[in-house]
Amino acid sequence: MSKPHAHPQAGQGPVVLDIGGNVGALVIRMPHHLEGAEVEIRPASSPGRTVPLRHVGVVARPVASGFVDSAVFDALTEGNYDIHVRPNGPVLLTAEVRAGEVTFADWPS
Amino acid sequence: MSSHREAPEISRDPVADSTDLYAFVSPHRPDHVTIIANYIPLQAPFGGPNFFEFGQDVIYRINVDNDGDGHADIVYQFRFDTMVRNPETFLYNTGPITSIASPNWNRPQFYTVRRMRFAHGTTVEDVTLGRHLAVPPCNVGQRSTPNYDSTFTSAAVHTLGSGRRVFAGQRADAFHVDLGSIFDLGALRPFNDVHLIPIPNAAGVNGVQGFNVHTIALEIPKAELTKNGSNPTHVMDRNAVIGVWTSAERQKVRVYEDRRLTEHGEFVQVSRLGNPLVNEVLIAMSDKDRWNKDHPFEDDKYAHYVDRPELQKLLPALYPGVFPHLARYDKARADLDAILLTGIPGGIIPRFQNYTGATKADMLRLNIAVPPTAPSKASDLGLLGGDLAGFPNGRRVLDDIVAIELRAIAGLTIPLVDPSYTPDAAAKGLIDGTRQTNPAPSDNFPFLGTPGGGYQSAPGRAIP
Repeated sequence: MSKPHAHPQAGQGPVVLDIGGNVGALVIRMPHHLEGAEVEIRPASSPGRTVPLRHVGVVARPVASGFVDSAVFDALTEGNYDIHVRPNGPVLLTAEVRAGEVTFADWPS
Repeated sequence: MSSHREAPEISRDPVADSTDLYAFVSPHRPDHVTIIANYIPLQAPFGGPNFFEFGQDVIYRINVDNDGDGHADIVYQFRFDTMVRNPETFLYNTGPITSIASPNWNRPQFYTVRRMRFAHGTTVEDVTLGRHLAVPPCNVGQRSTPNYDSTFTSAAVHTLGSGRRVFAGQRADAFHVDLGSIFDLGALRPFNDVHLIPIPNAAGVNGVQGFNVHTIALEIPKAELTKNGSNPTHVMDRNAVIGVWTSAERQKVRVYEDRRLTEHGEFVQVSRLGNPLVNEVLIAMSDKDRWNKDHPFEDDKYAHYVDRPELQKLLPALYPGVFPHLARYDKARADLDAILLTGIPGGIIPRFQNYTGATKADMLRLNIAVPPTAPSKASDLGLLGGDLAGFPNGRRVLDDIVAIELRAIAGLTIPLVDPSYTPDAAAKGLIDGTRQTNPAPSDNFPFLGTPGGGYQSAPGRAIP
């Protein structure tokens, strides 16, 4: 689907991750001013637009102490990834996704 | 699910929306009764976040009437609580969930089971049968919840003492119905060519194929359920019949503030389910929400929907010339009244009764003295197929209640009370043409199949 948020209930509750085997996930804490923006990811070894790119929306998700603006990439094959804000933002974060784990990262201020 | 989103208000509240109720004598433990109440309809296993939980703010009840007055004499109450291991993350899981106690599962649910007994309008017993009982996770996929059946199903079956067992968690929906066709001007695909708007016949399409539900399953010794504490063995014993229904309650007031919901006030009933398809098919739209809030002992006010069902009038109109006898039958449907509201008295069907008395109440009526039928001899048409252990004697997972109720409404059961009536030939063969196509039900408690996994399932086809 082409909407900024992949799921119509994004931000309304817990997020389920399908991870295991050689697949992990990446959760990026984003600054509040980027809520609603779209964040795109590509394998770090493929800097050009020659591989399928994935993007997700920055969504405020509830936690006990309030809400966390975040971008969640589920089901990523282990490896290093470059992330930028769409459409043409510079790569500001490179993250290592490990098999069967969730990688947590903070978007640089 | 035979009762899903059946009324306007409950359609907006899936967590409190009952979808199916089953009650039957346990096939491998015939001194016990199994009652299964399903909630949260139409759970697609695929597509993230595929996440479903029992409501922490909902009281789920399995109600038992053992004296035929339409009031609950025994209530099994279920309350759920979510433990968030790390409250500062919004993640359901932080890695593969390889056991029901996995620390990677950030939001495990647990529940408490209480049994309450009532007499003359007062509570005479209130006992906690089990607490902090684990719910299994949703079947996320083969990576996140690997080997789902062997890992989680039996781990989530808990014993409650005195031979009781309980399970609460996600399972495959065992119901089958051609939703698309039935709600398209009452069409039945195998009979398309005789419909008012004829098109070629076709096989039925199971509209709930591929969906999961959340199941509460309870197995109870028979002697715990009867009015006199007996384990009846004589079918004609009035103590042998119990009425069962499930209901859900929420607090009266919900406040949405600061992007969070809080509930306040007393608990009130928001949904209920006894016999399948009653609110969905028989009760008029204008009364569906009220029906959900009322209790079985109040059902006399809805009896006219059963006595003169609208579907009975529609069948001859939608299938011209196919139901001439039904079209001319203008008496109140005492047969449906017996099937759905009072139970069938002795003397109507040889060696059978499930009569609870004159009080009209929508309850699933189970004669617990009727032994389970061996699988090789069971008929999915229940009593209509000569199988005394099947619907409307309770309801088993295998009973094809769509076919049973279609045939009954079409007049097949009128001769039970009016021998002068000859059913139309078409009434004997009415079906919607569907079969159960989700993961197969199990022969063992909790009897419903393994839920479809999110990764391995595709739209319209659940694969465990």
